Amino acid sequence: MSVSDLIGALDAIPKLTAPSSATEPSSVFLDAPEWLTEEYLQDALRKYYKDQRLRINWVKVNPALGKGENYGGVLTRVKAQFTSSDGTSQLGHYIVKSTFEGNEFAQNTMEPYDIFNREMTIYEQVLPKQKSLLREIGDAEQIFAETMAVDLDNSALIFEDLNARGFVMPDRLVGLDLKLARIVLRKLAKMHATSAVLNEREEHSLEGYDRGFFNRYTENYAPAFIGMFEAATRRVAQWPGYEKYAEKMEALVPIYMELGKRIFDITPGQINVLAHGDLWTNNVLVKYDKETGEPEDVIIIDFQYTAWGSPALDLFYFLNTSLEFDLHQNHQEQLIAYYFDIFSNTLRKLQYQAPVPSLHQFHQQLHTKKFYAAHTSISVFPIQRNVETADADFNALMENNQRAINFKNACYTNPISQRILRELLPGFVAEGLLDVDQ
Amino acid sequence: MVEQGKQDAKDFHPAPVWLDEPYLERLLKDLKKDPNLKITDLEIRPATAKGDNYASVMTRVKVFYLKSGAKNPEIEYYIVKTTYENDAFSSGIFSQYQVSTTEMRMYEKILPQLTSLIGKTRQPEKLFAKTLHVDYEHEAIIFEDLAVPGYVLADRLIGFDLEHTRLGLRKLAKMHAAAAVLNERQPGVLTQFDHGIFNRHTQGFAPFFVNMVGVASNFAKECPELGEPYAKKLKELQKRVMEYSERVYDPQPGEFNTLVHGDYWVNNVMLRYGEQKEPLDMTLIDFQFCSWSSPAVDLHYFFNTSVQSAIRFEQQDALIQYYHSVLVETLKDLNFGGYTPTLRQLILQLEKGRFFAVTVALVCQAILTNDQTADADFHALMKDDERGRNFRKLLYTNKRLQDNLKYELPRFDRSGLLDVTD
Repeated sequence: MSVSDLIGALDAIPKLTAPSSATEPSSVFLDAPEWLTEEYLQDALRKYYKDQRLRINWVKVNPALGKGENYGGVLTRVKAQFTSSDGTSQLGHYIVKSTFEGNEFAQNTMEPYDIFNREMTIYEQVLPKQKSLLREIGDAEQIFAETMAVDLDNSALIFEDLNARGFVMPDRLVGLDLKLARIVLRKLAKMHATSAVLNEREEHSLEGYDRGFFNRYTENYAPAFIGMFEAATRRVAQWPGYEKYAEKMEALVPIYMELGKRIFDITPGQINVLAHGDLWTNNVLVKYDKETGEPEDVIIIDFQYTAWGSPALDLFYFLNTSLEFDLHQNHQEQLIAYYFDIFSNTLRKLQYQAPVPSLHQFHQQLHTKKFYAAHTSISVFPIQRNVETADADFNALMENNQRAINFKNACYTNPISQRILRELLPGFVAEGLLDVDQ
Repeated sequence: MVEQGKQDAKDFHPAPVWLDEPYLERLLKDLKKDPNLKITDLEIRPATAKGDNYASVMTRVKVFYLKSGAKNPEIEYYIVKTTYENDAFSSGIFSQYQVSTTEMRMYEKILPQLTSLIGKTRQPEKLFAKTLHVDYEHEAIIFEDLAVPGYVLADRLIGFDLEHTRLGLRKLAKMHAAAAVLNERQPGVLTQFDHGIFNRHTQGFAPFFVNMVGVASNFAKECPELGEPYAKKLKELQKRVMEYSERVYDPQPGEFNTLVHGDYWVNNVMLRYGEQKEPLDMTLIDFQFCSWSSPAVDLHYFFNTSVQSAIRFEQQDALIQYYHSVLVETLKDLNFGGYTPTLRQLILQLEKGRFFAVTVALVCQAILTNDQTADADFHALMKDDERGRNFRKLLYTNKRLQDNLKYELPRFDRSGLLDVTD
């Protein structure tokens, strides 16, 4: 079932809506955060459009994603018809992103990662400055969604709903093709470059973002990553001729989290950026040309896991989760070169003061972080390509019980994930990426 | 890189005049510690054909001798290696590299000690021809004739298949490990070697390397798969090829350094084959360009000159892993206390030195794949006259070279290795 099928199905479910009335409306919507009332929305719209007499005519509210599509919180789709003080009416489409509610386990587990506060701060304070930097060099490209409101009290963000502008999530089961990959990398390069410049101009203001997937504060993601890695090991052990690989993987488990943390540690002498932290197919929205079906534009979303560190964090993650098989296996270097050209040029245009590495130096820097490519291909890719969505939820990912183990094992029944393992493991091992002694 | 002459040409270099029976008898008496030893028969045969090259001249010696009190003579076979200084141009350049001194020191002092160390590991094996004697006055090296136990030169035009490559890497790893240990035990004994093909004392070979990169640029220009962008980059690269290559040779503190062979290609090893033509053993020869450096020097050189392209392109990672495993095992056997790189660390070192793969692929590979003439004509490689330019252009008409470069150049480019950065 594709994402758009799911959204279509959900859209068909009748929702509670409030008719316009003379008094201030305030209704409760099903399957949405309880504070998300019509009054709330009206206030937000009034503030955004700077129009105190704006009135909502009707509102429709749906959950935005299904199981297996998002482990990072609650997404609610809002359609609102409203009339401005000048009498004009328009239909607004928004996405409301809010915290896990009623899932105490999720809230506790994710607390040290601080994903909601981080994302709000990023949207409120950082991304707009990056946008200004691009404007500074005459670049009008839109890279991320416009925010309509940032609500610190409710830990919520309201964005323009890009779906209404024709942006959709690409099929996560297929992976991006070359054209699409390049568009994403172009945007990523600009984001990275502007972040490096911003950090420089603002006296290291971005270096405090140090709570990515692997960090020196918490290992709460360990059940997910090690759980997946162990499920991979069990699968690999079944394949004739792969016994030695399974042994090597087994031996790596005790230091797996430490190896991940080293990737996120800042290595002196390397260029660092504000990495997106979770850049994969589902965090990329695409606008396809209606006639040709060709990808025209891309918006990057979901900044919950941003972290200051090596561009490798995003490059290896993206390239090992989000590409068509042939690109994943054979063309990563070309894509990195494409990214780097734009990255380095943007840095120079913005008069980045610190030394810009040469492509070969950059290549060497990425090499020091290459364990992340192995980690992503082995332990993350299969989550994202999982088709067994019955148990695909946060708890199954982050727990260690039988249900969670079953879920992870199921991820490795996917033939595509198996193929990735089969074909890439020998290379990872030959490169010493699964050695205990690295 | 500079080869020995054809074996069946008519004119051979004469044997050195001082190489006579009295000389050899004095030598054997001394070495065998037997003052009454007598030579009963002696065959001296020149083994190197004449040519325009600066080349090592080999002379084959078969000596029958009687030890004191013995009834039956013993037979030993040697090669006497001397240099033929035919032309001032060549010898002038080669002497800047101290090739004779380096090789004499290697055969006299270093190789025997490396042999002794390797003999103490769990899996000892033969790496070099046994040195009989080094004569500094005559600039001659006398060592065992490897042809006698059946070692032959490999076919350089075919290049090494997987089995040969692994054998070559195993030997190389053991040499590298033993050298690291030797210098640990006798600090400075090997770090003094600093006149490799690229070094910080002379750029005598610069015309050769710079001109060949220019030829590569011209080739790229006419090649539809490559074209002007590559031609331009290679032209720019001419100015920096020497410096960038020298940087790879500079030993770095905090990295693994050792005595590199410095000219580790298919023509500088000898092989012994079994009945099914399977390679049984390999020995290393020609130690004119040894220097203290990163193993990246030998590994990039070896892969880009001597290994069949399919293996070079598709199996290099696994083969480096294999080299590393032998290196580490040998270092461990010898209780090496210095820095032992993990596989990742070795890979990073190789990546750092990867510009050298470009140099070797563009320049040395052209000589290796050359099937037009057996000899690397040194004048033709170095000189900027019409004959030189034509010869170098001819080297680049080789189809295998062209195919390899069409594959390799885009990949080098993708890693930024063709860029002039400083």
